[in-house]
Amino acid sequence: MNRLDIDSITKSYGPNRAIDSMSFSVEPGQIFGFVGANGAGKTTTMRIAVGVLDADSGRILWDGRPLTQQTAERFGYMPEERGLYPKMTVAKQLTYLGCLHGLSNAEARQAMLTWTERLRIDEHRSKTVDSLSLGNQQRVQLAAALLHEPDLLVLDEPFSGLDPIAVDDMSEVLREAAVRGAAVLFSSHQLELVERLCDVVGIVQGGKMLAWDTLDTLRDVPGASRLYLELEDARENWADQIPAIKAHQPHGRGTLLELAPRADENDLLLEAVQFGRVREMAWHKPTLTQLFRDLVEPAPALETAS
Amino acid sequence: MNSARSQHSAWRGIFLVYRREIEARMATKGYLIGLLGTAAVIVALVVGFAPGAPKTYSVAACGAPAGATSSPGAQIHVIGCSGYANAADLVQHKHADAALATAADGRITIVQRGDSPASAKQAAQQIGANWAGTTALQRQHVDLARLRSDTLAAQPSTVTLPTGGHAYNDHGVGAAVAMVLILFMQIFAQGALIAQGVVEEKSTRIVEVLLSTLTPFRLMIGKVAGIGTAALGQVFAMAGALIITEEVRAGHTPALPGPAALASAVAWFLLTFVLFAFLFAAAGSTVSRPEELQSVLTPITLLATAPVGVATAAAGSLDAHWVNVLRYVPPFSGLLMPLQASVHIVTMGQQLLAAAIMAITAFVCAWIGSRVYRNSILRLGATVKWRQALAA
Repeated sequence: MNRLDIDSITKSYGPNRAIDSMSFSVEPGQIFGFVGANGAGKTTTMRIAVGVLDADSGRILWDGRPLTQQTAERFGYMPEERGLYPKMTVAKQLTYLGCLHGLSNAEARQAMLTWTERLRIDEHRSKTVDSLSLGNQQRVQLAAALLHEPDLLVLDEPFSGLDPIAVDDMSEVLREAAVRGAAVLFSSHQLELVERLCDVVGIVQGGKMLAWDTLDTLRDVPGASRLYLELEDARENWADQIPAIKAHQPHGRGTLLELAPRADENDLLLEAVQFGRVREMAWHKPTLTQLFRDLVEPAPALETAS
Repeated sequence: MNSARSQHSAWRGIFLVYRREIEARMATKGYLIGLLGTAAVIVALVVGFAPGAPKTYSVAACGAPAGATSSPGAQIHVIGCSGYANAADLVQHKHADAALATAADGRITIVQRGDSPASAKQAAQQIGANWAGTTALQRQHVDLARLRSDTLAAQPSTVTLPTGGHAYNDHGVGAAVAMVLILFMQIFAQGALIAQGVVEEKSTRIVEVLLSTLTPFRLMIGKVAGIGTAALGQVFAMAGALIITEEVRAGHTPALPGPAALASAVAWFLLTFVLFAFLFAAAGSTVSRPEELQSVLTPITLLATAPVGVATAAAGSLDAHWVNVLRYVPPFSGLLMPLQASVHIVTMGQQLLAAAIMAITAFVCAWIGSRVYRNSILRLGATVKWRQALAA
């Protein structure tokens, strides 16, 4: 299996720059979550990654070599706007798309049988797509992307509009693809899902990649984590009187703290016990939603301790 | 090796799109019914416009004088009778349209009904006059055999002087014009189908999935070839119906173009179809919904209509100087060449030259079309202007 490198790609539509020097990589066996607000450039980047669109500049590398139509055949793509022939039966449609991805007729037919069963749409094989529910159409669309066991799976908003059971099915399929060694790149606004599924997350805004790394690394960025401290019977303004605290803000029953330079948890603990009984102290790592908000729309800083 | 694999992949992709188009369009009841309907219409037109068999009239004649040799004409059938009463009976009961009988005293009586056809009455009069002349000559002891021989020897000869008309026999030009116009109508119909197919793929978003495995150009070629084959099926159905009708009703059909003219018309149809097909596909890619198609197809339809007007104007004088110039200019060559071929006033070399010019123009149109298609097919919303699409 190979790795996908997006290398400084740029794309403009007339005067509007949709993608601006975007770079990131997706390793084989990795699930990469692509998050960003609407219009951030996710769809354009994904279209360029699978060869549907050409970048104005920059390179798409697969296994270190520039992308060709032939290598793109080995990719599986699910566009944001689902695309199928409405009047074609599920079986014919999937077999046709399998053949377009380089399978023989017999292989495509077998793959169609396997994936319609795997995605629980086997009873709809002889029906036309427009007679299916939206959820089942989505399953057909996913099957179309998976038929040829792609080396790279690019899915634009694959979870949108799915019921919880379908979300679980889809998540399982993505994990299986990654276990098989495929590189998986998908976008979603459902950040909890991305957090749960992805090994690596990329956050984009205004066509630029703001940050991409493993979720743990992103959370460990200096300043991203806060210390949560819950003091019982502490008097008001206790946090302002502790030198180890640089900034703070109320959070639930306790307080979120940012440590002063060169101060650590022990310094804080030693000083805090003088103001009350320490009920809880723990590092509070930000969720992806918080990270996303901090990067895209930075929240006001914690109140600085006086 | 890589290049060979890539080429194989390209052809396979085109073939798969082509096959899907064929299956979607030709393997349907509607298409088969359309084929049969088209063939039936052609047969009906050919038979309907065929001149009927010439009417033959019967004239009963009895008592012809010896030596009478009148020839009443091909449409008059002379039957015998036994005398005036029999002749009158035959005419009365419509066994003959007119009759003439010679009485014992040599007087000739013409018998006719009030509704006897003019041709039959005229033939009876002519025969009667001939008999009367023969009888009179016999009375004057004229050697009838010699008279006939001298008359034949003195027959006038005929010289036809040129009148400044066509250098071709225009027998059948009307049918040829009708044939190429019907073929041209196919280009409008199939071109609209191509545009509709493109916009349907765009509006259903399937095109984005297809373009992840195919280049826009390959997708267009497969689509155009598939719909072109379906169109060709209809053309062959029409040509087959024409040829079979001609064979079955030999001598009873109007003057129709021969096999060579038919072959020329089909070849030119294909070239002209390719010329316009990519433009229709490009036009389809510029809009997002099928109902917006009409506005973008109008300019191409007008462009495709121009040769029809020119061909209609040229039909009266296919060897005119301006026609001989315009026949090399696409898209006019698509109609003028098969018309000239139908009256044998164009050589194979001239047709090949015009075909080469047409092929180059078709290639340029294909290039322009694929560029517009590639830059428009993923752009949803407002209609994409050709200038924007070409500049992108």
